[in-house]
Amino acid sequence: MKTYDAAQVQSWFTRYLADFVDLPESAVTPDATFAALGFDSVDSVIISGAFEEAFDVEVDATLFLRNDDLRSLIEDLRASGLIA
Amino acid sequence: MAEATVAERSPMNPDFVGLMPGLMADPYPLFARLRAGPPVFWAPKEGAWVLHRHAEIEAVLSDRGFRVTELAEGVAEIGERTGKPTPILSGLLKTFLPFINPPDHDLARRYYRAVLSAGSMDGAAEAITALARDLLAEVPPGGRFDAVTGYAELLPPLVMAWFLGLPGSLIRDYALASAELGRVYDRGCSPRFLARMEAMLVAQRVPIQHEVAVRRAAGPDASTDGLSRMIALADELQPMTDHAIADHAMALIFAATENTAALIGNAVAALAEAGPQCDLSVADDATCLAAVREVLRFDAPVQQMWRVAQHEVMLSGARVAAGDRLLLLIGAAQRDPAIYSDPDQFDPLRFATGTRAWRSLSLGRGMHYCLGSELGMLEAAIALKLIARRKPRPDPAQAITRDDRSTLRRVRHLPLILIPERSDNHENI
Repeated sequence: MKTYDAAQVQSWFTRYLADFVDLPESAVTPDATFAALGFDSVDSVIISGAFEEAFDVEVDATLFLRNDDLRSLIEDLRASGLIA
Repeated sequence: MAEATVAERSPMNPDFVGLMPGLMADPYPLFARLRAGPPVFWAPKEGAWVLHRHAEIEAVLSDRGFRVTELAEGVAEIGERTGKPTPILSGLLKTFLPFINPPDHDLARRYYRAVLSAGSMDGAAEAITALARDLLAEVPPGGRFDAVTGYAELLPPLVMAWFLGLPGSLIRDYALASAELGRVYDRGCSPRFLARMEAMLVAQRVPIQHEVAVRRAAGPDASTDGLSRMIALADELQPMTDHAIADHAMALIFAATENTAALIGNAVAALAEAGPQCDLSVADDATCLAAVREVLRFDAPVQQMWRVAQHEVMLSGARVAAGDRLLLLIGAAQRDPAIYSDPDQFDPLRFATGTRAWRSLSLGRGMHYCLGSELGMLEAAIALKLIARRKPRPDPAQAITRDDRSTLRRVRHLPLILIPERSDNHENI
């Protein structure tokens, strides 16, 4: 399985999420919750889809539901082995 | 306005998420903890009210003021927004009773009800018994046997093949290929997953649609099997294309195989895990049916249901607004001590005496009550009876595993050791 480094994944997410909600990247801090950024459940699936395409993986259905901010999401991806 | 409503939502549990991996492995300790708190609470991480007691869940399921969530819409929206359309999957979900509302629901339910009408089940018990025996005949000497992959997940497709008059291998292949499809009930399935399911359905529909076309070409009197009845009833109630009948047949097969496979697997697991003090090796049909009812209470396949409130309503102190979503923890309600004594105890004889009412919510209530419940419970009771005679016990060398799914609780691998078949077994059945 291909692995990525945490900084690369975090930077992709920060840029993508900022574009998604039309906010500056500085607003997407590791501790900002996805709910506070205004994502609903369909949004989180769309974000999963973009992540799948960018990193050529299929993500687990519950990834966004079991993680409510970027920090825990990155840790989760590390635990799953996608992030080295 | 929206913010004001959110602020008013109380009581609140800021941490609850219905999809935690630990919750999937064993949800019951969490359910027990929830009972110490309010019966209805707002879970901001779910964006939904959570209900876990029998009383409130029963009331909501019985009230037409709550609608089901329409899965097809969400799946179609994801397909559009990601440029990965999934029309076959969305179309299939539009024929799936648990996820559609009136008026579409009523028409589809009338159709499925006619297909599953009483006469169509003649001979079902004998057919199920023969199919289950064939599967158990495959148990190798020594008795090591995975009762899910070799039994629970094979029997329901074979029964549906018998019912529809189709080759067993065709339905078995579809059931095994679509084993992951039920993940769409869980929230958050990714676009790649949905696209994979779409491709699977496209391939699986080809032979089923072919069978529809063959029967149509042969004319209405050529065959009396279940698929021919589906065609005849469609022509009578709501004329459909071959394509639409194939969709309905696939939805019917899926509904009738996945939940029943989970029920059989959970039943055999409960029996094996309960140990020798729980012995059904000489149990009769009625006792086995009662044991299946207890499994539907103790470890129900359907653990979660969703509803959407159509108007504002007070529910045990919580003000639910029109449009709010509700997550109903069916598995928690089934262990509600207000309804069941000693609820965490698996007691296969709990409903055997007739003195205790069976009030299960795991097959739904009201207009969404499971149409296939009788067939599914019959299959599970026969499957349980036949394997119980082989005194199943867990294989100490291998672990019992469960699917990591939240909506459907299902054993994935059930390695058991069975005793050899007794020569007088057949006469006793």
